[in-house]
Amino acid sequence: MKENSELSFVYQLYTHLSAFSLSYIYKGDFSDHLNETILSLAETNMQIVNEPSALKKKVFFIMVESLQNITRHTEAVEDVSNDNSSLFIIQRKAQDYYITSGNLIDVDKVEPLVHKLEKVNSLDPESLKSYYREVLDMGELSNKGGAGLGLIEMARKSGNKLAFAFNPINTKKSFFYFQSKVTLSGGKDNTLDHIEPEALNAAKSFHQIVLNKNLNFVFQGDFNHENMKTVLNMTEGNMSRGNQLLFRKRIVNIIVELIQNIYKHANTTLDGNEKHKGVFMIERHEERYIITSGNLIFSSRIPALTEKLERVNNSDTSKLSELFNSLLMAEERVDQRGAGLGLIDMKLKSKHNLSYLIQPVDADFAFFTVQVKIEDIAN
Amino acid sequence: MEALLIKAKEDSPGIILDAQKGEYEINHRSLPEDAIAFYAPIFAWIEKHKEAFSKKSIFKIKLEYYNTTSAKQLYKLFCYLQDISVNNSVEIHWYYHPDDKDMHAAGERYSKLIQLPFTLLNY
Repeated sequence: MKENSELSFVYQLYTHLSAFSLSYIYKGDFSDHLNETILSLAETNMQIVNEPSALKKKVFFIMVESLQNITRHTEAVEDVSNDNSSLFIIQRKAQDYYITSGNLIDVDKVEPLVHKLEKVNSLDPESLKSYYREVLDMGELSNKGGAGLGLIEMARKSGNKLAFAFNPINTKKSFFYFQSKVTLSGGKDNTLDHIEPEALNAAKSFHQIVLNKNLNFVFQGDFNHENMKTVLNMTEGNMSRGNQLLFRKRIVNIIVELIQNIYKHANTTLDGNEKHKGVFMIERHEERYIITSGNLIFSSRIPALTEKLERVNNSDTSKLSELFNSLLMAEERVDQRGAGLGLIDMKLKSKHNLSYLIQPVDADFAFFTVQVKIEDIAN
Repeated sequence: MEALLIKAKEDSPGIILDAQKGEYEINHRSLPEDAIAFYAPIFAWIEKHKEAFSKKSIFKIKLEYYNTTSAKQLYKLFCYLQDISVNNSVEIHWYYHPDDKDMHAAGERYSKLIQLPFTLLNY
């Protein structure tokens, strides 16, 4: 089997997101369990990069508010032909976090919402404080418990104006993008920082790519064992109970092999924190998952890697099984690279060839994408 | 003889190596960050207490899931046990969920590679 050029979008996405040290998007149904795992994924990453606790607290607060906004205010999707699922994005650039939510709302709610957002954005931190008390005193609570207190708090805690955009879907519904930027120094100055349209646009185009490629989950950043566990936890909690045990376990299997592959074998030009940078994504259907990973490798590794992939793809089940046994029995090397058990295992478990693409980046590096498809069928 | 007891975590197996009670078991799931480092103390314990395995003993593998780097460590474990077993004194009981044909196949794979009595059991 030859390389699959359709996978070139993965490197495009990787490049698109490269301005951020962390990018995470989830699109789909939001539940309490999912919200917890989203929070713990962010927490894990903030701990690893050793963020100051003041920043951590702010990011947490904004994330919780954003996730609550999604679960509280999302309107039911009537038009199933379009994917208007809610979304949540977190991105980190330098010391700033950008937290974006997206959800469908009724068009008649757009104007009052814009009014609230503009009101909040027009105030300086001091007036926001008194406005907060004012709203609190009025007890102006909507039946869903909103009333803009959350918005005021988000502006105050983040120290930045609230960015937003609406994307009209039809005559009744609009898709609402809402972004907060959290900075460590935020809220201490006399004025709130201005909105950065490019940050909101970056989130919108990230969403667009995810929609075009039908993805449910993308994580780009530094991979490690801790965030792998959270990704697993999230996927397992999200799997349909209707799926067979074997299918669920095989998905876990593939996720572990792919992510461990990134954090054990990704090469990078960057020093310091980003030792194992990569991108990982999941396209989820009721009875089919497509799981993809991408990372840089040294160009010198291309021939050996290609040979391994081709050998796996050109072998039938019994030959793969023989190959697996011989690698199992082979003398253990200190440098574990290249046993290749993971690749064999993924083909055996998924019952599909491994789609892959290796694209040269420069003289020293290439980008390696591998994709595994798996169906919930009885065998 | 001191037992080696390790509690299962979300990514690493529970370990019971108790020569006094004659209980030997690996359970839960195995996908540790560094499988070689995780299994090293287990091999060291077995090496130190190998005389315990010269009498009839059952080593239970009750894993619901393991990754490929752990697969290699399991093979090493079976090799250790094979080496210290006297007249097939050590028996492997490999447990699998009835719906999990992958774990059944994995047990069959090891049973063919190892010269120890190997029994596949449902749990």
